[in-house]
Amino acid sequence: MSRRPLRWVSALVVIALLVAGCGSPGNAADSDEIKIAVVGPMTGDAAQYGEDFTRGAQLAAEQINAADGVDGKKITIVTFDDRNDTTEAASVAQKIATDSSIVASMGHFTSSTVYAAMPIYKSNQLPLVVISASDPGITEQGNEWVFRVSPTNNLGAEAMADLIVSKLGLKKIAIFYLNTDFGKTERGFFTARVQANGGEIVLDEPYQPDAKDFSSSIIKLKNAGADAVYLSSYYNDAVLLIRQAKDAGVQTRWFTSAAVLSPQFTEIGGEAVEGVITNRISQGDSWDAVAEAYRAKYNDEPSPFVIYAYSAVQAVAEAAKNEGTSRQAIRDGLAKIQGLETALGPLTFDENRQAVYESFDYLEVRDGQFQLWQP
Amino acid sequence: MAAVTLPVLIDQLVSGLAIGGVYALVALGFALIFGVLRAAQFAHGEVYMVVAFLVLAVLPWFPALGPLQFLLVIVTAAIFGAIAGMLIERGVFRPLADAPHIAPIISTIGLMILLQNLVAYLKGSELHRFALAWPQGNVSVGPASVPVLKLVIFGTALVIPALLQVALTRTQLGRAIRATAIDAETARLMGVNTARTSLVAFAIGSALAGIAGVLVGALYGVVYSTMGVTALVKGYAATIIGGVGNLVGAVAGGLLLGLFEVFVASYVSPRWTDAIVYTLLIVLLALRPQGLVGRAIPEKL
Amino acid sequence: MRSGIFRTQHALTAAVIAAAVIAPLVIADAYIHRLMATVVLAAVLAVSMNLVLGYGGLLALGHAGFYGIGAYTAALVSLHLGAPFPVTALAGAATAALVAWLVARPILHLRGHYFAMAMLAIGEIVVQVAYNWDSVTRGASGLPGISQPDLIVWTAVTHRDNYYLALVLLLLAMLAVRRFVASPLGLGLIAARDDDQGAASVGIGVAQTRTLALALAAGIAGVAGALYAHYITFVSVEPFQLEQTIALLAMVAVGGMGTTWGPVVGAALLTLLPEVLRDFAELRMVIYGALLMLVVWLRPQGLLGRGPSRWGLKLPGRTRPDPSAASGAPALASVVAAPASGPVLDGVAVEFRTATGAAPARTAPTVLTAPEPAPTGEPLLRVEHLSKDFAGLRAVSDVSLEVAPGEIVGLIGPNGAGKSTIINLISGAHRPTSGRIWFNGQDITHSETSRVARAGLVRTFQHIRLFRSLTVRQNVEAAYQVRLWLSLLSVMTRSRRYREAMDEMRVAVDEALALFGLEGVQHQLAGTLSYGDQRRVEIVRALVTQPRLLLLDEPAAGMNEAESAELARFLQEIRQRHGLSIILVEHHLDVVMEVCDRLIVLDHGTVIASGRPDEVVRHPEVLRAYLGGSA
Repeated sequence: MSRRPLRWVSALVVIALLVAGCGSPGNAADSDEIKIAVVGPMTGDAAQYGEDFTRGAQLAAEQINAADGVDGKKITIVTFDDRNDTTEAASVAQKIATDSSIVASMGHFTSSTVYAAMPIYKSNQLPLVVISASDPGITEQGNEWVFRVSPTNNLGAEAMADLIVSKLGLKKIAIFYLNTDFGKTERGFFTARVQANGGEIVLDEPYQPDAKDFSSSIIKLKNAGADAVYLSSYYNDAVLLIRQAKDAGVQTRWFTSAAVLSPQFTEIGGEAVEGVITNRISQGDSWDAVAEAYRAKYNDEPSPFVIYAYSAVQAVAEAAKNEGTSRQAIRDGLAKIQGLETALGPLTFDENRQAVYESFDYLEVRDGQFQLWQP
Repeated sequence: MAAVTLPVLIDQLVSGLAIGGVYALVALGFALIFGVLRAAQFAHGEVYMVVAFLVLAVLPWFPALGPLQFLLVIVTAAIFGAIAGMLIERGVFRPLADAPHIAPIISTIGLMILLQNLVAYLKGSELHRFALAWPQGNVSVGPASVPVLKLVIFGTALVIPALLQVALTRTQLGRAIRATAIDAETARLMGVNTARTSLVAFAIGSALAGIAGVLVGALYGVVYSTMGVTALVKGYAATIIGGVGNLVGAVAGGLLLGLFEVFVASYVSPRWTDAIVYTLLIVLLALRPQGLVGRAIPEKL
Repeated sequence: MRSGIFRTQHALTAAVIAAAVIAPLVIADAYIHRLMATVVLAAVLAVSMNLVLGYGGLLALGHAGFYGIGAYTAALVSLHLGAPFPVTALAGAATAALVAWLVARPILHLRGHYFAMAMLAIGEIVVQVAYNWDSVTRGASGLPGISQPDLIVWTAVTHRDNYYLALVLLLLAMLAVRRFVASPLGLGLIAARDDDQGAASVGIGVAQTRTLALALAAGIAGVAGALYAHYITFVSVEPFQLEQTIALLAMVAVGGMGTTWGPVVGAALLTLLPEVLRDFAELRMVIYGALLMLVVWLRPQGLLGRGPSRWGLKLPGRTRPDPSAASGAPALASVVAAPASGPVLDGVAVEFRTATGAAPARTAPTVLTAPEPAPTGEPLLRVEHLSKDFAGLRAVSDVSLEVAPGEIVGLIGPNGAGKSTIINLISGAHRPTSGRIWFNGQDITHSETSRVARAGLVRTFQHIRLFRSLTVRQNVEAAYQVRLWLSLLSVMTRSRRYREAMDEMRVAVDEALALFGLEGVQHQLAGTLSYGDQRRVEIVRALVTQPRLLLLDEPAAGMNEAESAELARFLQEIRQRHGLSIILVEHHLDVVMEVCDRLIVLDHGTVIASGRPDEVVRHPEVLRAYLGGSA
């Protein structure tokens, strides 16, 4: 009895499969605006970063538009939420790609979400500018539609290892790292460089992404005899770790990954994070003005993600100016960028479409603020 | 890795008992509600989270009176929790009293999603600093120096269940709750007002969650909108370890879980803690299907 | 097929499926296609979860873990061996089913929330292993670069292609679940959900049936995982976490547990809802949670679950977790109970029959074939020095007894004398503190209830334990399965042997029902019958398993005089016809005196007298302990 509809259905499925062809990707309509998608975690645990993306991009768009846009065309920012979830990232990427008025996309916070979304950008021929995900593999896959303005996570960690071991002469080092792609790769680069510089890792301690109680790790740290601790962490874990360690009476010097750079770090950390040292890529000459405008607009300190988002918009605008406003033109324009002056300093993409970085600034938390610090 | 010495062991023990104490309070509340209503309260962790946020909001008005302030915080948390619990009992469980078992589970999952996202919407999803003026500092326990806070949390997690035990055995209402937990039908036949006992059980159970919420806030130094999920899962696990419907078991299960976590993280790896703890849980259940403390009650045939 | 309702239902089904096939051809929007693929993939998972949760009544809080195992297995097989999709999908399904099979063994005896927690733990372990086993799974970085679904002659490239692939998978999954549920195995699964003790008492292997169901569900989830991996071309742990299981739970419950289409509707609704609410940004999930609560409040049994909404009549009671047991079902059942139709489940007739009314090809087995006689001289049942303590209290003390083939033995004594405890001990429901039990030359002291029942020793209960959400006929068929050996494969393929077995079963069940005058009510839900009829169903259910020894625990309880007299007559008749032995625990002394060959009198857990009924009732000890006051 129930066989009949099934036979029906199988026939229909076969017909459908025969009829089904490939949809063609949408092409940018020539209009008087340049629409850029900003995608990231707008809700959920990591919503803070999505907000940084949006604000940085919006600020750049406003400033460029105020200066008559790109040859008279205004930049428009549209935001999308991928909830920091791989499936959702792929889904949202498709939504963005289907909207033919969007000519470039930027974001996806973590490397996992970027990986999940990358093939969709490629098959729909829409350029993606990565502004935070730090797995070196992303730009080593040969996907010519994916660019990255943020640094891969080896650079900052290696610079930090040089500082701690070679410059400051601290040899016994403990490392805590977030057990994610970010934390693990950074830990790998840091450890290798410490050992190359003649230092010793006396404690190598991972922690889970949802960890909030670091008691057992801190007890180990207490007894490890470390001269310095390096944290491959985001601000929230770093704050908790440092605070709980200080409460437990641990005395050592604290160094962290650049990923902690966020106003919340000093806000929640308070007294406990005074003296913590971190680094970031050296900023361009225009950065101070941008930061000033950001503070005026949002009454908040800009995080590095704000800078990356801001610079990504600058790069897309430059590409559109030089090559035109179609998706293909923007991709080609981005690939040709050499030494473009952005908030990050001179921006150059290498042959893998990865931004090239050289120098770092060191920052110390003093009086509740990140301030430039000279070793 | 550092050698295993007595101070290290004491340090680890106290840490395990502190976090275990939080689990124990969550589990005790969960078990109490489960016992009386025979229904799992999946938004139990959200009560814990919401109360922590509410207490954080009123904290600036509390006078800094040392231990007295701490006591005041606990009482406030209990009151907020009790109110939240009664609202949930009336609003979610009562209307579904005759519905299939799964209905309240799904409804409280809805409530869980709602509350979590509402708090994230109102307060942001980032961490919020939560600090109490007391207890601070460290104290010597034998050869080790441990945070006073952890000892206080563990103490609270012992005192409150003890008080509850007295209340459940010595008062009329407490006996009614226990009778309902054992057999709701018989209790009703014997004149126990089951509607009232379930409301009271919900109030007490949620008050315990609220207390656990502020304790964990103090322990971590922060509160955040998704903190309830972990609490629910750990509380649920602790309840199961102890034996469903067994209040002493819930406390023991919570403490045991906390100790296990700290020792596995210390001597195996923090990365594998969850996997190992859950494996142990399955092994335990395979050996003792009724939980550690629970007794196999032969089913009436 | 002749019923109008069927035609309407099938037409509707066909229309829905046709729409699902045609829609993406009409709407040429890749984003919509992507959304549809996501919905269908979620539906596959929900359908598989429904098998365990809805029909099995098991709170499977680790289901997403099996989805993850399928995805990772497929990804690894594809990346390392370059195998095409059919191979990776099979590998994913097999691995997930195997893991389910292995882990199910130690935990399936767990009840309720213990089982739920164990499943949650398994789901969590899967995620943790995938997350931390860097050398194989690349840990948190995930596995990128998985090939698109390659079906050798055709590769799914676009979202639409993947959607069609998922749709085919969904239909296959629904077919598999329906075939399973409609089979005696499925009836056993539902029976165990309604009453696991009752199911075990007639020999249904509760743990085995649940293991099969869990493995099948895990296998389906595994294929879904494989498709996910090839479709997204990237795998990391996020989609396989507890949140996913909770979402699936909500889908099944909102759609309607234990219904064919409920999980599909639930999956569509709960997947599309956040999409529709996207404009609310941060408030989206707040609204989602509120709507979830609202739906549960309005229809606690799920959208497609049977029974009225909140404004209607009384809701189905707690004792029946399955909404299909609700008040709407019997009416529908009697409507479709045309003579040609098989058992009714979920409103769909199960195709057990061959041609309508045609006599089965083989000789019909009779229900109550006489069991082969035991070796002469040997008692059928021998109980030696049996004792049982409950928390220090001795309920049964050093009881020894024997039952010969064809003998009817009455077990009497005042309340609390230990009669029911002895029944529980013999049937394997309780473990004795000391002593041994031999049945048919076999030591069954430590055997499980279902094993004891399969050996031919079947009991009934003092408090009737029927499978309330099954019809009378299904109750009997669920028990009949102990006479069959059904493999999952034969059920899925409906092999010739399987269909023949079903034909035999139908004849045997017809005969058994007729014997007890239950033909007229065979399509009613068991719980809706009169007390006397329920008792009868319980006895038919026991008899259809062809026992050698029947343990009847107060079968005349609640019967009036005429009914109990009829019962007495009937017991003698089945003994005469089939030579089976009976142990009868009974308070109706008239029944006992009439049918029993021998009486054993218990008091305070010990045997105080034993012998011919007319002798025993005159025994001074008995008069004092038992008959003294009340008789």
